[in-house]
Amino acid sequence: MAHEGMVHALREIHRVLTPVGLLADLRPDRRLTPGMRRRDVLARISYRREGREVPVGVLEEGSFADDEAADRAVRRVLREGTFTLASTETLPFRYYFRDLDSAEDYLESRNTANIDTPTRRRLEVLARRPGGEIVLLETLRLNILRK
Amino acid sequence: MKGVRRDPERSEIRALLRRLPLAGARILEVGCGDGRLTRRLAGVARAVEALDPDPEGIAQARRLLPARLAAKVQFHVASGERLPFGGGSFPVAITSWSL
Repeated sequence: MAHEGMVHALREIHRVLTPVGLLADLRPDRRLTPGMRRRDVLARISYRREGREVPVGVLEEGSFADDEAADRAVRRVLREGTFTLASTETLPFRYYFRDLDSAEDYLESRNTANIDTPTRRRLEVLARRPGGEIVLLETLRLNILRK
Repeated sequence: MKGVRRDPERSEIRALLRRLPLAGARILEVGCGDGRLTRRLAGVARAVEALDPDPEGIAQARRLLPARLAAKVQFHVASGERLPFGGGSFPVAITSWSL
């Protein structure tokens, strides 16, 4: 959805909310992912077996255009007074993949990110022993907007 | 999608429950995708109106909805830019990964 479409959607949501209604805007927030400094990092990848998690690498995001447009749209409706910001917080969101194929199928369906070659090789080595899972940790941001 | 578990810790719904009066409410979910969050919302809400512009996503969401929640959820193929509801209809709306 383009920036103008997002602003329009936020105004539509404002319309259908009751006079004291609340909107939860929940999206990935790469800026605050623990231990990460790079904006192009989407998630932390690790391998988990028997309760132990081994860090393996990071998942890089190819494009930030949609997220930046969403941030601008939210800032705009706040500036216009359509909504006020009631609270904001971050939370961890984890994916557990049975194997590398499952992980790559899922990422392909999202169409935004790829596992780089060195990370893929490390995962292939770790996955030779059965019984483990690939874990993706992404940080989400939850904004609560009040009508 | 097979071979993937998404948020089995339920971090997302827990955070929403901390911040929003979901219990017993009629909720609007804009951009429900395959209904992953819809199913969790339906577990606590009185009713969920879930919409997505992608007909395939809505078809999958309908398939994955457990029968015990079917009476609580209405799915709509619709865009967030043109909501098929009257003004003042919902105390809570949620855009999850969809804005």
